[in-house]
Amino acid sequence: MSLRLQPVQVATNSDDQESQLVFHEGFLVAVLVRLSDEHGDKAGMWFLEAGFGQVDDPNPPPFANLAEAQGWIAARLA
Amino acid sequence: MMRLDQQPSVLLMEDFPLVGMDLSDNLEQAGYRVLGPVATAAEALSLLERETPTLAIIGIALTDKLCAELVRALRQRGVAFLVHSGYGQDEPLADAFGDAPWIIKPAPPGDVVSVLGELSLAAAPASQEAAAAAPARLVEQNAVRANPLIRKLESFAPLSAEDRTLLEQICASPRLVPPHTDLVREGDKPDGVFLVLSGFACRHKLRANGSRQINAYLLPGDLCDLDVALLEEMDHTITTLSACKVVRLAPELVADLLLHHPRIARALRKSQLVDEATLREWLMNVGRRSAIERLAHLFCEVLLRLRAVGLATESSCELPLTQVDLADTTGITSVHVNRSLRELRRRGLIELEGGRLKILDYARLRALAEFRANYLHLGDQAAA
Repeated sequence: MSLRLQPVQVATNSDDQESQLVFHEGFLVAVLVRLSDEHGDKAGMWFLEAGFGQVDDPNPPPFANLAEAQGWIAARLA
Repeated sequence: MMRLDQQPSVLLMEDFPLVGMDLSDNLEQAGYRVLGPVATAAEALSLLERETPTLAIIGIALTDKLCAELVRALRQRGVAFLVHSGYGQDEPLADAFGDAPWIIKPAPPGDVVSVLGELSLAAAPASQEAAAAAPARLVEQNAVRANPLIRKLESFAPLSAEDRTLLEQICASPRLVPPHTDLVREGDKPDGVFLVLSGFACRHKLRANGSRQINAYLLPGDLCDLDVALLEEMDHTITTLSACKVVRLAPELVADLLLHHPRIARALRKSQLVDEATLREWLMNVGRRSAIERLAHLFCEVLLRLRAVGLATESSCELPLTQVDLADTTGITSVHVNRSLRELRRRGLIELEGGRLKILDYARLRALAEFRANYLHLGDQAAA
């Protein structure tokens, strides 16, 4: 499955700004935000700020890197 | 704002842990809220930074280099203190303490508590109007205050002396339960009602994937489901969030209270109605408020509930919860909790550190959350 990433900035009302829109077959399926130093041991990890359709999850795990996040999203879409 | 916290607090400095624990128990039984025990003047000074106690007991080594600084800090804040020391008052080191009451260690804890009582009456500064107004009743009032169940039930219905004695007896032998311990699990057959006397516990439900929704906090004075014995099995789990003192009331005892003690029964039923009203408010919270509003609402509620049982000052209280606990309470992720807490701090609304919540601007926090205390039915006590 191929996912396309597009860097953006998300206004999270915090230091978490660096973000990626995640597209699948032309559709926006998720927004990932990189957690800033505000988040202690989760700093630097990627957080599912929003997931659409099958990617929606109220308790998403934090991801160590973008590859892991994409793997998780792909599994939800499969 | 009406001051609800009339329970005197004592900063206890004691370098022998066993003596500290023993004294602490005796002080709590006498109706004091104990800060500490701490073993050094440095720890005492850092506690003083956070909260000014009503009174203090200095039972640490007088050779502690920071002792003089500690005495200065206590005097600056108008905190009366006594010294509980292995040294005599004629020691050169004792000069720093002026004419503070002096008890030679080891002394029976009862003596220390008794001298402290005299000290509180003698000192009776402006901040202790209650003590000054009714000194003879101080100890008796404190004994009642020390029991959060009685305080809570009395706010719902007048109790007789006999009722209070009975409730004291019921609470006499609590069990100390460590944090994160299930008191009863979903699926278990109910066997009595749990009453929390100190600490934070919660009702919660778990999904198969382990995610948890906390449905209620059980704070000191709270008990769960009076009529739970009518059910075949528990439909939720009750777990301690912090260390708790807990009493289990057998179903027969609950039945007896409801049948033969009408004032207690009335107060218990009202308390049950408040639990249901609180659940409705929490449902409103998770369904219709933003992340930051949910936390603001929760903090307003916890402060008022703890104040109603004498366990919070005007603006601060214990909050022995993790960000994950707060996330599971408010139905958001711990990332959102972290961001929202930072935002609440940035706006100058709260401080949350070391398991203690301080509300810096209650009016603005309440406005942010649209918090109305009506559902807690605290009567005059909600006049904050």
